[in-house]
Amino acid sequence: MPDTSTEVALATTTLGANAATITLSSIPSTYTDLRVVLTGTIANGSGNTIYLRFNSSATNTYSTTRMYGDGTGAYSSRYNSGVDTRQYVTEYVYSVPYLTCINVFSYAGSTHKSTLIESSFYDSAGQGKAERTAGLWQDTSAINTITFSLNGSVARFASGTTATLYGIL
Amino acid sequence: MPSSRTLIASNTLGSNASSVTFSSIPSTYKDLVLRLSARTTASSTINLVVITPNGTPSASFIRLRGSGSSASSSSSTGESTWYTGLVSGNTATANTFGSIEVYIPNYASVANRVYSTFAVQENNNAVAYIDNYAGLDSQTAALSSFTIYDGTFSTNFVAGSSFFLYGLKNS
Repeated sequence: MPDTSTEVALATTTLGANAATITLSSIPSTYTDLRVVLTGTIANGSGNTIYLRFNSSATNTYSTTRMYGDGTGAYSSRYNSGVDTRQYVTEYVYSVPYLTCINVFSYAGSTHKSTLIESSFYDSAGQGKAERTAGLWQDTSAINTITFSLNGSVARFASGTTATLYGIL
Repeated sequence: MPSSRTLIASNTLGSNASSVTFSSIPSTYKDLVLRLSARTTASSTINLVVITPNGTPSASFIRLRGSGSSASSSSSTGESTWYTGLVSGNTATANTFGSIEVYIPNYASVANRVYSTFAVQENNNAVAYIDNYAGLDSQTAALSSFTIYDGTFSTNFVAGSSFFLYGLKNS
């Protein structure tokens, strides 16, 4: 069957053991956009937020607008000039699988600052979240590294967690 | 470098049909993506679309919905189908179809299966819908086939409705 799209898997990381961070590095600048698909579960502690940083930058250059539903209400919040973008993929249900997809536009360095559309989903017997987030990294540098981490000192990405990076022409 | 996304199968309806089935789904991909554009014969402006996978589904979901004037969220458990979102029914603006994307990671595994959806239903009216579902199916059967229905199981997808199933590799 002929290839019909311009979406290419660039790298996949599958954790063999619990880990505090996941890093996708050496990202080529030859694509137009990037997409990351992150699936797995959270192990240990109170890790309820996935943080994302570009090029290990911890400056106050990240903004997100978030909309989500938790089964009882719909909410929106704004996180401006933060030190990372935030995805709330799980709170108190550690063994439940989640799915996070992140589209990064204009990542290769230009006069355009990189914008993001993120989505996160998890459900456990009707308790969970469906979330959409729009984000901005206020930097025009080419993105060559994406790092995911968790809040909480003992929270870990569980063994088996997979992060796949796609380049889109 | 070859594309990681492959069209596994598609079906564009030549006449009204009560369901669409994708069977014998190969297990050689990592994730599946279903994209559909559909309208139904239901006597309403909206109609839910559901998926019945093989096996014995035991599903639940969280829904986030926008209607143009408000947002809401709801949940459900003990479902035998996967809820995906709303498309246009027969009384919606003529020739207006709804669109849904369903993302199913790790579909060939037998662990708890998460899925997500993004659905848009349009209508030349003050109210039209955006749906987002976070779903979980706790059955342990690997996904090898599924059938798409309208949520009432009593009306048809109209001719011209189209359904595309893609496989995504991660290498």
